[in-house]
Amino acid sequence: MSRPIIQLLGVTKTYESKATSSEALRALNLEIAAGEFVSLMGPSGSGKTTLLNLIAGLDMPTEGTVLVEGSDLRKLADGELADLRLRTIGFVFQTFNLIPALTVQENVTWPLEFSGYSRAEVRRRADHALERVGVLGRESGYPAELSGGEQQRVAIARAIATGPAILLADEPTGNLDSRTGQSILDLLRDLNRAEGATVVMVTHDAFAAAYGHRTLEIQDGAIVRDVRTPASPMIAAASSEFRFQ
Amino acid sequence: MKIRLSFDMASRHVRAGIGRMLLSVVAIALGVALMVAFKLMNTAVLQSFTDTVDALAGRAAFRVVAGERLTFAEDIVEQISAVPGVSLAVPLVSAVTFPDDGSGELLTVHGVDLTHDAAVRLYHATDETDEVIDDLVVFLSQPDSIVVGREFAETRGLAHGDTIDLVTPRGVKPFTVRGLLDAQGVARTLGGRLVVMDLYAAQRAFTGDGQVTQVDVVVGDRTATRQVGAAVEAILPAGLWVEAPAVRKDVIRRTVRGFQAILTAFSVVAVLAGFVICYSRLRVVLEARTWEIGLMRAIGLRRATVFVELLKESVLLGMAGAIIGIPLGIFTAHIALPMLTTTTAINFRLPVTTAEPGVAPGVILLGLMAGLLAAVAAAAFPALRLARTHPVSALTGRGRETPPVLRLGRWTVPAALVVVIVGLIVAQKATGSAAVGHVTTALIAVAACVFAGPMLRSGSPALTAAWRRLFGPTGALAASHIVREPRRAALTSATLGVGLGAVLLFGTLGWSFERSLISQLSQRMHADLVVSSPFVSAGYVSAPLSDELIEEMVVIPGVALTAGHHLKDVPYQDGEIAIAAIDEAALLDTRVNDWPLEDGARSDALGRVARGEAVMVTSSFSHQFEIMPGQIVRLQSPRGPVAFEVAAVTGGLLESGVVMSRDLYRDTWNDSLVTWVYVVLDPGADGAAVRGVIERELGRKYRLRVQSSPGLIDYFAGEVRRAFSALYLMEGIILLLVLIGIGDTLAAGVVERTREFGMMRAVGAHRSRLFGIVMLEGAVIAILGLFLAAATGVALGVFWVDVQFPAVLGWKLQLHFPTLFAVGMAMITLVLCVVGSVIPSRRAARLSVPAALRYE
Repeated sequence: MSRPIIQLLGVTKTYESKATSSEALRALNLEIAAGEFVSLMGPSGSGKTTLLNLIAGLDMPTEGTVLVEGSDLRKLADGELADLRLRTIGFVFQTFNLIPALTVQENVTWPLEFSGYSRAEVRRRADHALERVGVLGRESGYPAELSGGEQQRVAIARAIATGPAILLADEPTGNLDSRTGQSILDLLRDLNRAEGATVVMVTHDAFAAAYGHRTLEIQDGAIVRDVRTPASPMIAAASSEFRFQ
Repeated sequence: MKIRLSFDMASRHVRAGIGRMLLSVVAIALGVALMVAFKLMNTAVLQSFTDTVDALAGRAAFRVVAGERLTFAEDIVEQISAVPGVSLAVPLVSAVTFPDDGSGELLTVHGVDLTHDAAVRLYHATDETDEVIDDLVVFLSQPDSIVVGREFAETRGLAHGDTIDLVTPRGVKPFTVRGLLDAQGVARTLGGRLVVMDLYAAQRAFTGDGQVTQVDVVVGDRTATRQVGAAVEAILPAGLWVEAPAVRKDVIRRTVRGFQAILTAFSVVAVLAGFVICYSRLRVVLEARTWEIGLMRAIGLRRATVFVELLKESVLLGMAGAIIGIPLGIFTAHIALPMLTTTTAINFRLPVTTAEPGVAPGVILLGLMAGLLAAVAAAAFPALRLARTHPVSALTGRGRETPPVLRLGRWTVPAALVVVIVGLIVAQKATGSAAVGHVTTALIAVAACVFAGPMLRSGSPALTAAWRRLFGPTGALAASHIVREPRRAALTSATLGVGLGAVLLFGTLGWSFERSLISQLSQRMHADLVVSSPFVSAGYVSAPLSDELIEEMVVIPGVALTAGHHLKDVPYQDGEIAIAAIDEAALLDTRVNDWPLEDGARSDALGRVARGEAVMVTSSFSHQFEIMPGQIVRLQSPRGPVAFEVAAVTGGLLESGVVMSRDLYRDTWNDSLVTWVYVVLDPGADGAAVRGVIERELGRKYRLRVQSSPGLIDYFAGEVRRAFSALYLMEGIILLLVLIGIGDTLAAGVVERTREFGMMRAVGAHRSRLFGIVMLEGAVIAILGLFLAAATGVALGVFWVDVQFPAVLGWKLQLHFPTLFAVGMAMITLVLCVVGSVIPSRRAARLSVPAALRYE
């Protein structure tokens, strides 16, 4: 196993409210190696999204340590955490979260511009990302003019444009029909294989989970199953059939 | 399902979202407050002026006059008394005086025959003469006897037998208090600032023997007032006429109507601003509940029911705004009323009165209706749109962005509006109708609102490019949001534009007035010194002085010549104009005045005016009544109707009026008083020394203010600034609304984009970027608002100075743009916009990312 890119050591996350307190994650330990494709499964409220938020530094654990590329996220200032997300982590959401007022191209370029790349480099990287996800040619359109699958591809292009080492995907196929969803999963797998990006994907769908090298099942804030996923001939067949061109 | 009357559900929603709606409620409350305050103040100011007319008239059905405080022989009383139907005719001397204590407090003098009980009761119904005056015989035997209002006496510690020095046109005279009047009748209306003396004594002090200023007439049968008035009119010699209190009140109403309409219009603008702010917020709040509306429709509620349920929330918000706004308006009226009374008095050369704001149920109803209308109208459109949303798309649309709507023909309405406005300006110029001008003013303000959207939409590419170039990707993202939501940004900018435009209009009027006055007076007035009373009798006009002063002053060493100038308001057509009665030297000698004459003046115009062969009219008069040189101007005088040839039009005076020789005026109007005396010094004479001598030797007798010509001009400029002081109240309210409008628009935008901001933070945007985005959005709204304000302010300013102001008030001004004032306002607005943007910007920057990502 190659070096761990994500490490969670004894991570507990408790949400406090006036009347109640609930533990979203309990003393969780996890290592994810660079280049792995990990699927996170579990029922609603099991702690999957909380785990993703902790890895992205969007939230801090109540106890324990989260290390990303060896950096203890708790020790990073807010701005350093933002920089980490901008350059090291790509986020893909269930609801795409594209900015409707921006064109497809602008939706991809703004994180690059915030990263401080030159105009030419921004253009080159955006074109590359859009080409990579297969929506080059639609860059002057607006999100509302695209199908759901196309919107999610643009969201993935935005996530990979900065060349992140980690892709976090929170139910990326949740709002898509099965055929479109599968093409998105193919794309994530290709990115994992070809770019070497570490993918952590939250999903409810066992079929989607099977795309990962490894499936973690979370229940009540604890990992109850951690299994290596065998290569699925069905996925291979399906993906070759529906592969996005 | 029937429409329910219950407000249960609406009140739950309002309670749950009160934090978000608070600024909207405050905005509506401010609009309501301003409307209530101006309504109360306008009513109170007008009431105080008309009450004074009523109180001074007492129980008289009408009075016989030769003009306001112009004198005529009292012999006519006997003839009037003999007219059938007249039960009492009371000769009266009405004048003004001032206590010689430097307070400048104006006292109204009533000179009435105190031996005539019925005459006294005419004005002081419950005061029997012998109850007020200890010893009538002593009172009448001493010409210095006076009765003063108890309120006035108490503030100065005066009691029976005390002496008080009063400043009259003929100088300072000691008077003895021999009676006190309770706060009833005229005394109550004038706040106790009343001096009653016997007719004979008043004639000696103010008008001359046998001269009165009016005869009040009581009619036995009030229903026959009109017929008796006509019968009296028939026996009056030329120059005297019958004037019912209602007529005088009508003149006052007509005089102040234009000014009050402007103030009312301004309060409507404030309510509109409240509406826009409320609309902007309600749209976001209601649209955020689209899925809930879908649910209501899905379970069987009809569109109308949903619509009414949504409107109920706005009714509650409007009620809340009105409940806060009405008492705030009443409070504001109490605080600002003296200022507005003074402003109105200065504007229209009326004596300052004591106004008390009453709280009429009608005003409360008006405030309530304004608040409710603003809130319900703000909710109507978004509520209607939501009620019409298909239940399925409402339910499935949860959390989804709505696609932008393409708009066509965006310049059609603005272009049509411009055509209508140009047409109205042409019509106004042709007809001189103030009403057309008011409509034009309203349409110019509407045009500012209508232009905001298309300007923003058409300018969006340039805006995005500029913001990207100036502020990088943060600027580009800020511009993108404005472009995405142009309606809300445009509405806020329009509010800012119209509000600040109105303030700029007032600023332009005030500044044009001040600069025109300074420029005209500086060009005309060359006298070394100008002597006047330090007291003000009406508006900005000094109390008149005896013209004996002119002769007394000319003998002072160092004085080369003196000349008098008297200003008197006289009736003309439906209103009043000023007569400037000027001595020959002040007309012909350029060391005193250098009269600028407009083209078309007759040869030797000034000479002819000085000799009393003709008159001049001012530019304002010529413009207002279209009277040119060679034409005849007809005036009403105590000697009957008089007609004068107009020899020239002069720009030497700002007022709408007629300039004539003082000799001619004195002979025709029976008035020898002067308002100002010009003094030219001998070459080499020490101005300060001469001034000192005048103050010492004549000031003791007359109480004088001696100023240089620039000093007098500065005084006038100060009075103009006071006349426009209502501007500061408006400015304050508008700036507060700007702060609320900007803050609320941006806050609504932040709420609406919570998930978007969460995503941006998740993708790696720093907090400072989000802060910057919202701040730059605020800057766009502010800049567009300022641009609209400048355009609206300039358009309204030019229109009002050139067209409407002369039509409404009769003043023809030169246009002067208040650059410093405008820059200052713009700077304050920008600062307020920054302040208003800070809280929503901080909110955007400090969003909890996981919570924001879950936000729908």
